[in-house]
Amino acid sequence: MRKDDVSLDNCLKCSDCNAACPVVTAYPAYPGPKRLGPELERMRREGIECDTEWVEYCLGCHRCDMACPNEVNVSELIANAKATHKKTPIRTFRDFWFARPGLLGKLCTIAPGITNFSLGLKPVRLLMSMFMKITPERTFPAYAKPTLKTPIASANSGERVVFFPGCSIRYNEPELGEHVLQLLELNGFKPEVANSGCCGVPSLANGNPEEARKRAKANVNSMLEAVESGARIVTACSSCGHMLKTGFGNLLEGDSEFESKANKIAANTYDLAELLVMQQDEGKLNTKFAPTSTKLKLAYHAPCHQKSQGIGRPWFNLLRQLPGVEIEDLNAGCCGMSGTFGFKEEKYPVSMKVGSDLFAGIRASAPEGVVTECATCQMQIEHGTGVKAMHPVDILLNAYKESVKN
Amino acid sequence: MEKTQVVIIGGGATGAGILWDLSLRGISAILLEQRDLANGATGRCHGLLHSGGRYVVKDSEAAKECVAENKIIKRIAPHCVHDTGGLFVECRQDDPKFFEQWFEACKQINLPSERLSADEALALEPNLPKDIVGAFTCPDAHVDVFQLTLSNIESAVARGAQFKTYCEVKAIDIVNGQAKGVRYSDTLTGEEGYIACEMVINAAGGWAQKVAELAGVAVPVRCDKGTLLILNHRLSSRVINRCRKPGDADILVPAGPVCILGTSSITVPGPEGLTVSPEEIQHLLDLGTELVPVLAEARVLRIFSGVRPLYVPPSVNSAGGREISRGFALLDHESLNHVKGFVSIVGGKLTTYRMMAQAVSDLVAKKLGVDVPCSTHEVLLRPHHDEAALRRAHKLLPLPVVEKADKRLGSNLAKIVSAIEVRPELAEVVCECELVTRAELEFVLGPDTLIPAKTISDIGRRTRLGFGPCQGTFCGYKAMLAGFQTNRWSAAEASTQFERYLDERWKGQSWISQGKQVEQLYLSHDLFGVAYNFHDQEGR
Amino acid sequence: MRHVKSNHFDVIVAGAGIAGITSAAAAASRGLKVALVSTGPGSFVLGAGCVEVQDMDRGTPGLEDAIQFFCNFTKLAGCGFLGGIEEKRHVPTILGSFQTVSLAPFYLWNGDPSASSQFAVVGIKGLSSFDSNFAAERLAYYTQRLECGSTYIAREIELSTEPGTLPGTLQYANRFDRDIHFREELRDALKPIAAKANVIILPGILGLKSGPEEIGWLENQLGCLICELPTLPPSIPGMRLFNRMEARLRRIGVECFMGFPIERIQIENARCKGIQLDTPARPLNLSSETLVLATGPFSGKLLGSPALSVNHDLQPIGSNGEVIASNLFAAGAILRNSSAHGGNAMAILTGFIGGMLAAGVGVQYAQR
Repeated sequence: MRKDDVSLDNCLKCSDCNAACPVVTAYPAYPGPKRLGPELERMRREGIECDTEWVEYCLGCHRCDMACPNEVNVSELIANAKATHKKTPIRTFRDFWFARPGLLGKLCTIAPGITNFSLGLKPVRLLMSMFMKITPERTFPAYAKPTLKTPIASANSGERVVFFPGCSIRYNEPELGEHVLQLLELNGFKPEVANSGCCGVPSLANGNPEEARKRAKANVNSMLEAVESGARIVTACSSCGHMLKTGFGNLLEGDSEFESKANKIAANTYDLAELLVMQQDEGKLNTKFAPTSTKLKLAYHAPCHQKSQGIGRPWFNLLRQLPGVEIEDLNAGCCGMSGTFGFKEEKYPVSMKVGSDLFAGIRASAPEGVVTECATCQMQIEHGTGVKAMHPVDILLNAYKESVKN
Repeated sequence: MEKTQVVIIGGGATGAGILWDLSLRGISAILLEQRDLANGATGRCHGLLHSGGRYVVKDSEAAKECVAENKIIKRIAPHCVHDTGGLFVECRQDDPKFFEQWFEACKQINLPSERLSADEALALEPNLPKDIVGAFTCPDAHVDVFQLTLSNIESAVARGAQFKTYCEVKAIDIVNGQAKGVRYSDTLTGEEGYIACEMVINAAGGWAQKVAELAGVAVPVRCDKGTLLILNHRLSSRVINRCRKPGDADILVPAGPVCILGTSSITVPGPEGLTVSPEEIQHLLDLGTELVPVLAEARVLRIFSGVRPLYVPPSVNSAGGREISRGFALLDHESLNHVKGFVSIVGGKLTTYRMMAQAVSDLVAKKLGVDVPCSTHEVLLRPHHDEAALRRAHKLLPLPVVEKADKRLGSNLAKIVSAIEVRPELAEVVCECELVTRAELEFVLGPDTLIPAKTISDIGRRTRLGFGPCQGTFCGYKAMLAGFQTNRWSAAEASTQFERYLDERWKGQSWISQGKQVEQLYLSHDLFGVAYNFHDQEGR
Repeated sequence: MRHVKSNHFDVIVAGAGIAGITSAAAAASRGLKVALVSTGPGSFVLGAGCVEVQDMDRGTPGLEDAIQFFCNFTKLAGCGFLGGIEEKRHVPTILGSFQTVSLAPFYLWNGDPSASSQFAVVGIKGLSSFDSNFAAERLAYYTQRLECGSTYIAREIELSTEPGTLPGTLQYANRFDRDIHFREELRDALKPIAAKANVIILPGILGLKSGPEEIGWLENQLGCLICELPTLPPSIPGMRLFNRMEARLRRIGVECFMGFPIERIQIENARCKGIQLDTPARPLNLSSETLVLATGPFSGKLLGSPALSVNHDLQPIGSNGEVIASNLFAAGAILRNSSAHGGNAMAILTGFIGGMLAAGVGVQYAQR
């Protein structure tokens, strides 16, 4: 039996998943993961027509999976429904692009200055709203020249790791990518940047598993050699990390050529903080943090795709050791952005409502900055609270340097 | 005192079929059922509309009957039939000579069948064993036994017939060798009644012997128990048969969102007090996994048994005994036992219920001097579904809820749509496993329905409420409240109803020794037994 | 500062039902580094966590301490329990029956009929999981048998719903937590009823995160007591208890790993090394000095046998009568087969003892 066959049978209808679902909490009209997942799956297998617009509202946050006492793979059942869901023409057109941030990234970084300028123009945003239902409420992240590449051979002959940057770092924040490389070098690694494309999460989220499968295969091929020679893969974006650890294997299950390769990639993928904490456990972490007299009050927000990796709270546990850092774990729910979800005009109000608990938690904490390793969580936090959002990589990197504040 | 031309005893498919047949011929009839519709073999069988393939080698007469009736039922009751098609699978461990014999026999009786290679079969049904030799197609289908029985009765009642549930026959009034009437007792209210009539038909299946005794007549019935397992979700799209001599656990029928594995054959003393042993269950599962390996991991939802009422023919020299076919026996007690106005019908199978009903109705019509031929093979059991109501329903309810409601309610869909338009809270899905709305729940409890539900289990038979993975744990409670709110039951009665319902639902799961259903049952016990302390009221 | 390995703990508690949470709290109260791992909230999703002590021997060693600890812990968590070992209260249910308990959360404690109260049983229009007429009638019937003078009248209020939705306990609970206007709407709807009753009995809608402040506010505004009943799962009061207790555990430094099943317990030379969680890509290894198993009645596959037997020190023993691991303890419903008692009292007792034993200080409790 395929894994989802087994898990479908496990449902005892306890509704834990509904209680944990951030969309149900914010938006009671949403039928909930119990209905969209295991309940409708039994109907779908009977051949009953079950398509509903509501599947578009699943954030893919996996909180339902984690809340389930019986190992039902709820989100995967809903993702299956997404794949066969019929959308309106505008949404189909829009989501085609949303499913391909790699392609979008390549196009938009040909002349990033022009792209950014255009995307900031009100008439352009109004046109996007009219023809693509992309909300004008949000600011697009700025694109930059994709300069991120493997550092030229340094004196450091450390352990080889392959950094999978993901589209956000590659096309929007290459400087952050450089910081990741520096962080790795500072800790005895010899990093290289994977010749990879989009991890495929947005393709799946937008109901296009075929595109996600293509991405998975290409990415597996680009990193297999390194992994087979003993290198580990590192991600700094939790969604990419989650995808490499679970998504490739799920999409390529049953593929005689790729299944075992995908599993090998997964088995060797580490979140950056996960890797650094392992280093610390082995006594190999660089702890030469610059002493400081100033105190930086921060709040940490764990992205949903970080929680779903089941690695504990490594970024939080690293940052709380830093001199001059006072950090609180907000644990205040899903931010509601869910990647491309929050950009969609019809989804925008839900996105903001879902994040309202987190916004309130941030306001109550009153930090100087919110630390989170997901780029779209950062966007949502800044949009919803005005508080600066930062990547933990930068906080940690700064601790190694003379200056403290970013 | 009530009066009618014919009293039919036994609310299974056959009794229901007779009620419908007689109503089409203008013969007035009342159907008495000691519990609820399809309580006996009808409600406890596989729900398989046979193509005939199962009998084609050993019993070609029975097979031919199935071939004919299969087509008829699909024509007259399409809303009850899911025409899944079937496969007869050539398992590697079975006799290849039988495969050829089978295929040849099908050709002989014009049973449409095609031969598939192993790859073709596996492409259609990936859950078959990987090492099968091949498979044959056949026109097997799934028939919803409750909807079928219900449709026959509802259509008859719409034409003036009557149907009384929970009415146990206490006496058959024979005066001067002529049946005059039937005395019955309403087991829910305790009231007694008497129906004067010209003919009494004993269609009581497993209870036929007991009923016949009330008329002072012997109808020997051997009760043959068959046990079936319900699995949580469809493991196949088609009916899966094992192509070999008929034996235990060699059929898997997809039935709505679940599938049913069966069955066994064990003689038991009577139609009640059936129990299932762990060995029996293991035996069925072991055999079933030879046919569909994935069964080993599938969740068993419920285990139930039914009794095949097999007629034991008297010695070959008995005068007047008339068997239409080896499948069933029509006993005219006027010629057999000198009791006029009493007729029994015993044996048979669900697939041929209409034919059996026809045989009885033909005989009864002749005796009553009614010269109207049978038309049940032509008249649709339910008018076409209501397009206008469907359109209105789509505005109020999600797609799958509408589809399910339409299938179950047919022309009654308009009634629940109107109800929801007035009271939007009726759109709530009360049984989440089977997508039953509150509107439908109130409908089957209320005055607008022709065959109202009197217990929560009755509601289940009419709507499938409680038939899913939770086995009534959550929806049973809501159904009880609906019965209270619609004034069918007082609070005390509702409470008792629910207690009985839970006991009945729990019973069918208690035989399952392992797997997720054990946990589901535990959850149910924990919820009602502990959190709500429900069963402790009488100090139990 | 010497670094303790990130995934090493003094105590790992497996299972976040009432036994596991009590166990983790007990161990943490000894200043130890505790990890709590669980899939799901145990039976909190079903009921209200009430505790029946009546079947147990009141003199059971550790019972008094355990109950006191539990009450203190829940009070600090903001979901305080009222009652005591010697108490016997009748707590109503949606089916109109009564649960006889010794301890109950504060918002359920007021439902006891023996105080000759006037109860208003209030339903919400369109909420199908609770019918006030039904409940009131049945409560009156059972109260009659208890021979006290309490009366029950049934009332119904109407509450707004979000557009396109039907009334539901989860919706109301979520709005209660977040929306002052909703709380005010509820108060205004209940006010006329509160004027004529001592206690209002309500279906569970008073939030998934709320505490004594919010519920107390409502009682103050209404001038009467509230008794909130759990309805069909997810039980709102039950989940609230779980959320509050889990939040408290996090605050006192317990590291929570929620959502990943245990793949394996690692035992070597009759000592438990740790556990492996079934996490994406690779199992997560958590090591510890001791392990408390509070994973409920269906834990058979974890220890390789369907029924669990323990000795007087709550240590699981194998078929040969030998302790499986010297640093392994079991608590809660996992003991259901080997324990004469069931229920939350046993869970709290064994959870407390298990936590204390794991922390190395429970020896004085180790006899049952």
